[in-house]
Amino acid sequence: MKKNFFVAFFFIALSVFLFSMVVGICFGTERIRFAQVWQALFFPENAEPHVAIIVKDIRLPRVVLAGLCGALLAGSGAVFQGFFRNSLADSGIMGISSGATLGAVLSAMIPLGLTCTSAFVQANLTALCAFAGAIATALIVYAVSMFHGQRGDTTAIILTGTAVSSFSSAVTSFLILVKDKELYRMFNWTLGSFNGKGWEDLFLLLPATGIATLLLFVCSGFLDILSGGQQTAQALGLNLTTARRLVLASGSLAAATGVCMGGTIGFVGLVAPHIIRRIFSPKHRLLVPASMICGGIFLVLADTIARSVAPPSELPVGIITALVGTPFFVCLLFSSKGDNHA
Amino acid sequence: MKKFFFVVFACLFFIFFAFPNKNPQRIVSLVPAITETIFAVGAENSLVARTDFCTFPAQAMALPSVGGFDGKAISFEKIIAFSPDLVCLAKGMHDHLINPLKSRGIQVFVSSAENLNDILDEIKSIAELTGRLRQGELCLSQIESQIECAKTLANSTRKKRLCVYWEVSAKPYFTCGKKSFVTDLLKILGAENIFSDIDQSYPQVSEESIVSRMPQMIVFPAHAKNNKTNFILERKNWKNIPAVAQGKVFAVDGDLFSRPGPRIGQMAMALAEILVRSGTNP
Repeated sequence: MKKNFFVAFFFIALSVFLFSMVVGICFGTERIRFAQVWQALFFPENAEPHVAIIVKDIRLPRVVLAGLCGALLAGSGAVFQGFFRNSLADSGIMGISSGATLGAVLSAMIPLGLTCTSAFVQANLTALCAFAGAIATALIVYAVSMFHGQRGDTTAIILTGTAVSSFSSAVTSFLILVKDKELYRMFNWTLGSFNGKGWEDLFLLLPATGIATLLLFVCSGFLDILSGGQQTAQALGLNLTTARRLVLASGSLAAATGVCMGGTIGFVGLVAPHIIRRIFSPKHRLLVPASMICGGIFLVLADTIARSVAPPSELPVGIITALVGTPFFVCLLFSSKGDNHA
Repeated sequence: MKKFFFVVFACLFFIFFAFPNKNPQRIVSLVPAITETIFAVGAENSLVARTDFCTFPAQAMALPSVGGFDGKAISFEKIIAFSPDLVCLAKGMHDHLINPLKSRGIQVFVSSAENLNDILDEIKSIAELTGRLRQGELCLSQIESQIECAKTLANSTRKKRLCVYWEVSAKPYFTCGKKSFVTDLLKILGAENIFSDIDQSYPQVSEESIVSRMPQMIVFPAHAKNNKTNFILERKNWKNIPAVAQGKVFAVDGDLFSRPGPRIGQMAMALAEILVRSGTNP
């Protein structure tokens, strides 16, 4: 009976995810009728050229990117919340978001001459630097926390993450002050946006997305064992050091990839796991994949609103996730009597 | 005779002290466009400090700087150290400095020029403030004649209104909206900004709206002498846009077009030249 419920839940969730993607492809700053969208997707040779480009090369990759970004951020949030046993844990707590932002800002300081050698590097400089910044931050946090009395315990990691995050934010603010002309672009990065993102950005981050998703699924298997406490986990034969490294690697890689896709989009990593925990299951084996689907739906719809609400202008998607997510989340907290996550 | 000299001296003394020179003698400018305006109206002798971004005209570089343009990076005590009687500020960026300056009896001029009329009004205001009315009028008439000249030049080759996309930055795409002076200049020169329907000065727009509005010409302000147009011409999604298909993508001097000041006539001329090039290119 329960198994049927889980299967039905995933089936419905995936259907809603697909439906949200269809909605995302149908709506945008330009009004395009559904018949035209259908034609552009499946019979592009018969469609108007600019409509085919808008639907296939602008909206489609963007919707897929938003879906994957939401899934990765929510997945990393679910893993971090489970591992740190902290309801507020997400990519921000490890300093990954601020590390990625610092990397992106630093990319603006690199002289053009140094990157001219490779067209690939030049085109994706910001994303590559942001990714490097995020991964470097995660490594620094882990390395510093290892010097703590209890080597690598969760409190040490959280405290180090918060400290490194503040440090990265301070350096970012300083660099933006020094280089005013990059202010607009970086301001947007801090609010999150998929504006101008296309197939190239998606393909660039697809390998990292695949690896991160695989690692998240692997972690979800032993997070339930860890939730009983470290001693119980050790008694059950779990290698704590390996588990810790794997959780940090999967969460950090997922968050770094998500941040590179759309900038520092808040709320998704925090909200999606909480929603799933309350309406579906607190078991990580189910929670992680369900949170990923929920995060994907949330971000695809938020991006569709960001594109459609003030045509031909766009709003940064981070504004929408906070505006829509906050009241929804507060309602959920008050309406549900379930226990808060330990 | 002695009495006569005494009366003349007394009169001069009275005039000097009863009607002192009210024009500011120590100006600190925190706005690059206003620094240019002060030089344009010939009041540069009263200018005592500038920002790091006030790099035009070259003589401005000889003045001491109070720091960067960003309001948060400017030290209030550094401004006070110059004992200014007038400080020129930018609206929004330097709002937090207005009250502290006023409370110390220092006059402030808040620049908020966005469109062409604002720019011309500010030149007039600075000329009045510095007591350089004649030079101000001269500067304005020079701008007027440059704009007229640009208009004639632009209209000489083109009959039809040209749709222009002005790319301030890409990924995310920022452009000029209705309130920007760029939109005004394009309109005067017989062209049209494809985003002139957006109220903001510098809105963020979606890529699909750029593609669907089919601009016939794309202009972008190039900074750091990087004026290669390839990065726009090579965008796959833009291949059907007439401007890209016909190679009508042009770079303009980013420093010039980021300062809404007295070089507005020069900007009009630069734009007119591009419009002519665009018209003659097949």
